[in-house]
This record gives sequence, structure tokens and C-alpha cells, in this order.
Amino acid sequence: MKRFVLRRALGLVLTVWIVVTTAFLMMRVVPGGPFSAERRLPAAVLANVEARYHLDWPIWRQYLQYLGPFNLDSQGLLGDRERPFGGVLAGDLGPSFRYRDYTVNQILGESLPLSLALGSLALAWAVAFGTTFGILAAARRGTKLDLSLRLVAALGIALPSFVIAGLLVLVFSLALGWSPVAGSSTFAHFILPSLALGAPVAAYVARLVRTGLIESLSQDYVRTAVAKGLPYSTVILRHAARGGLLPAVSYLGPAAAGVLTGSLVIERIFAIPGTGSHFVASALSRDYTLALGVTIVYSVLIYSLNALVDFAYTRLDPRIALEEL
Amino acid sequence: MTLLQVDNLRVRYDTPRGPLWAVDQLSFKLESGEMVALVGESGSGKSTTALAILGLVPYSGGTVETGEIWYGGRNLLALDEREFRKLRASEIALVFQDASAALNPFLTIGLQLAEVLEVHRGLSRREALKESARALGDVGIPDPESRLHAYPHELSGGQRQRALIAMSLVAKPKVLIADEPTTALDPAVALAVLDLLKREREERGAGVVLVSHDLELVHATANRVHVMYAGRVIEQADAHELFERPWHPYTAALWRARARIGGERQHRLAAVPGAPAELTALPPGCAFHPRCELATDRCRRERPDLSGLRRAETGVSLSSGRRAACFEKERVAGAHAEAFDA
Ligand code: SF4
Repeated sequence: MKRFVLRRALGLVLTVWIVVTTAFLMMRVVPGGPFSAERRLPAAVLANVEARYHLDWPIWRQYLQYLGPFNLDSQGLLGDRERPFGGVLAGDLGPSFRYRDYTVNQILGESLPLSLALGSLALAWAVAFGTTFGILAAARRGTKLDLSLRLVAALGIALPSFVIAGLLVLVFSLALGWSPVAGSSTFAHFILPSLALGAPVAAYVARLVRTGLIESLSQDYVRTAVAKGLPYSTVILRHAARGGLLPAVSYLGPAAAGVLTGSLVIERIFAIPGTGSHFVASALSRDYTLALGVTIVYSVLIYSLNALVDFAYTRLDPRIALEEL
Repeated sequence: MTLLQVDNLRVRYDTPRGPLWAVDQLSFKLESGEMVALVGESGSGKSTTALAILGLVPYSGGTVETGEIWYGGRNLLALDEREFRKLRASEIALVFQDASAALNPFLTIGLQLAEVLEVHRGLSRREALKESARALGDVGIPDPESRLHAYPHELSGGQRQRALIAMSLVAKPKVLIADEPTTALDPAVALAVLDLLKREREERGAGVVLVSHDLELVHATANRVHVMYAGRVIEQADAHELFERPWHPYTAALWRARARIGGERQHRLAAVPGAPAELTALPPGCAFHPRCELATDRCRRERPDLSGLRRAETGVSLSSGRRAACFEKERVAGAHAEAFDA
């Protein structure tokens, strides 16, 4: 256990470093800068602004400044934020280039909790509905129930989330009036968006659980369970489910990272100021620091969730030893 | 005492290439303490028979068309699934062949044994585990208490097989269906398994239906043998009589093939010349005729029924209940009688 955590922690640091470096270089290679898209600035003003954000430095120095932990900004161009340490290693993701008066830490600090809350709720729906429907469909495979569940799952995968979101709002907010239309002030505000966000994930999970379970139902040991005279529910839930859930578990790792970092579409529709919109907007507007910050959050999430999946695997399958991972 | 009686069993499977009858007109009895063997090539219907006795034909996608299976005064085939479920493992148990596949890799040995007792005997988990440890000890697993918490992959192959047998026996079933119980095992473990089955028969009066293609094993352990071909019994006799003086050309060929191959344990049956009958396209008349050296025109037209010998002057003693389905069985029996007399 200790070794597993240690190795994964090391792997996380290494992975994030590689991601940051690659992303940093790629951002600079792409033509255009944070200030080139705006109304053409007088050359002197532009130089001034770029100097303020150290864009006049050579790339290696910008990179070191960004990474930290030492603050290379000896002239104190950042005014009152001047200090010996800075950069990612010091936990500082730097100032945003677009939202002039905000740091990336502040922006993420406000938006990330909303996205995480929304995403967790969406995941909870996805796991609950996905596994239940998947198990039901597999246990009653070939019946009308199975067919209709598969149809619903196919719809969940095929329909874009804004269509699902629109339908949900139409029915539950506008027609029935059960739920607020948009906003993020109460828990009720999160129900519809999380349902819309979780729907495709639930559909995938249901599919994976169904096929995984059908596959494991054909195993010899499940036949054994039947021949032992166990009730069908025990055969399915105790003997078949373990092996049948494994594919869904490995899918859920990366899927969870995607859902937790927020969705531009869902956040726009329901007016939730989450991280999802920043992810797209920052890349388009060359907000170097915000884009990198979001990327870091995303890679940390993916890496940790994958480690979590590996851990879950060892809990589900006793043949996989934690120490070997 | 008759434990189990199968009457006129007929099992159909619908395949893309048409319906086939994996078992047809099968009847046999199992007495308390006895071991009855079903012998044949794969596709002869012996494993389907085992499934039918456990009520698992529907589970495998087939249909029992006709027949009765009597156990404890009840026709099992008239039971609904709920009632049949209660008999599995508690009264009629399957002894599985491949322990690495038949044990659930995700669950502890203890749980896999205990759940049988929880379901069928209504024991609590704690009591069931205690009883399970005893069952593991009975099959010769050392330190059974600690093995309860082991997963199948943590046991050696031999121990897994023993644990599997213990699982079959834990609820003390009266009828044991052993489907190729020794095929996947090394000889030492195979012997141990057979010993365990023998002990169940002698100590508790359990009956064993042995499904096997291993003629030596059958010869050495079974009381009575039913040789199956293309879903039907083509010869039935006491074990020692059957192979020494076969009546049916197929039985004779099986036994000769065994002698020729000698050490190659797995391939004895494959050595009978010709291909096994295709169940979806059975030849008319005697199903064995394309492979039979003695086949006549009659064999190609008519199907022989199971019956005793017609003439006493062949010199073969007519043992009661002994039957074969062959028009030329007198010739086969006579030839073997001469060989033995000489
Ligand atoms: S009935 Fe004819 S074909 Fe069939 S086994 Fe006997 S001799 Fe051979």
C-alpha cells in the first residue's frame, strides 16, 4: 500500500511536469499571443504590456519563471505580488492574461468547486443508473426490458448533451416547474445540469456493465454457482457482477476526469460559472497561464483517478496484487 | 434402494443447422452406493444427461422433450425452477472437472463453500464457515481454517480440486454427478478424487453418475456402464462384463482403441476409426453404421433397439439387464467368447 502510494505520487509529479512542459512549449509555438487578437495596440503600449508579463524574456526564462519555485522577477514588475518564490512548484499558477485583475489560482478557486460539485453529482447518477440498468439488462437479456434499456442507452450516447439538457429544462423546469432553469445558488440548480452531464456516461456504463456481465455469465464459475442451487440474484450479484464490472471501472477513470473538469456546453446552458468554459476560452484567447492551469488540474485529475481505478481493481480482483502495480 | 431413475429422456437443442437430439430414449437407474458410468465420445449425449439430472438443460439452451427423472418419489422434470434449485447441491450435486475454471476467482474458498450451506441448510455465515472448514479437512486439505480465507489462485492445483470436491460434498448430497472428474488432473490427485467419491458411496450410500470417456477409469471404478453413441445408449452392462465381452461393435472398438493407444490417456476414444456421428444429420438406420465393419443392408435401413441376446448357444452367459442395440451382437459376443475360451 505504502509503496503503491509512493510510486503513484512520483508518477504524478513526473507526468504533470511532462504535461506542463509540453503544453507550455506548444502554447508558445502556436502563432498569436494573448494581446495580438485585441484591438491593435500602439507598439509602445504592447511592449509595456508584454514586459509586464515577461513575454519579452527568452522562452527558457519564461519557463523557469512559470515552473518556479524561484521568482526570477527581480525588478518587481508584478508590483505588490513581488516575493522570492513563485511558479507552479510554489503552488502559484500565475496571473491570468485575460482577466487582468485575477490570478489563475483565484479563477480556478472560484470555478473549480462548482465544476467538481456538478461533476460528482453527474458521476453519482452515471454510476447508479448505469450499473443498475446494465445489470438489469444483462440479467434479462433478450427480453423487452433489455431491448428498451439498450435503446435508451443508445440515445444517451447519440444525443448531444445540449439536446438532453434542453429536453430536461423543457420538461422539468418549464412544463412541470419542479426545478430552476439556470444558476448555481442552490442544490436544486445542480440537478438538471448534472443529469444532462451524466447521461452519456451513464449510457456508456450501462453498456459496458451489460456486455461485461453477459460475458462473465458464460464463465464456468457462474455455471458452478447455478449448479449449487443459488438464487438467480445471488448468481448475478455475487458471482457474475465482480468480473462483469471491471470494464466499466476502467472506463470510469478517464470519464470521471472529463466530467469533473466541467463541460463548456452544460455550464453555458445552465449559467454555471465552472471551469469548463475557461478550458476552451483560455486556449482560444491564448491566455497562457489560465490554459496551463486548467491543463494541470486536468492532468492531476486524470492521473489520480487512474490510480484510483487501479486501486479499485485490486479490491475487485484478488488476483491483482497492489504491490505489482 | 433406487436413488435416481431416468426414464425415456429426450433432449432437443435447436441449432442454426436444425434441431438435434443430444439425448434420446435414455433410461437408467442409480442405486444407493453405486457408481453408474456414462461413456462415449464427445457429442454422445453423456454430458447433456448430466445437465438434465441437475435441471440445467434450459440453462444451456436446450429443451427436455420427453422423459421423467425420479428422485425421492418426485419427477424432477415436473418441478419448477424454484423447487429444482433447492435440490441442487443439497440432494443432487455436480462434481466439476476443471477447478481453475469452476471456482470463482473473485471469492474466497470459504464463502464459496459456506454459501451452499447458507442457502440450503439455512445456516448463519459463521456456522456455515465452521462446517465448511470441516468439509475442507475431510477432503484432506491441511489447516482448513486458514484456507477458508484463501482465494482459489492461492491454492495449488491439487488443493483447488479438493476444495471443489469439498464444495460439491459440503451439503451431503445423495446423488453425485461427476462429469470427467479426473480429466484435468495429474494421476495422484485423480486417485484422491476417486477415493473421495468411493468414500461417499460406502459411508453415506451416495450414488455416483460418472460421465467419462476414460475407459480404464470406468472399468476400474464403475459398477455398471452405459455406452452412449449419438445420444442413445447402445450398450449397457456390468462394468467387468462390458469390456471383456462386448456385444456392440462400438464398445469393442472403444476397448481395442484403448489397448492400441496405451499410455496416451486423453485420446483413447478418438482412436475409433471414422468420424463421430453428426447429430444434425444422423444417418438412417443404425447411427454407427458408417463406421461399423459388420454393417449390413439392414443396419442402413433399420434402427436396432436395446435388447438381450437372442440365442443361448453362443456360449455367453445371459446376465439380467444386459442389453445392446445391434443386429449383429450375437456375432460380436460370440467372437469375444471364442477369444476368451481360446
Ligand atoms: S446394428 Fe449394424 S451397423 Fe449398427 S453396430 Fe450393429 S452391426 Fe454395426
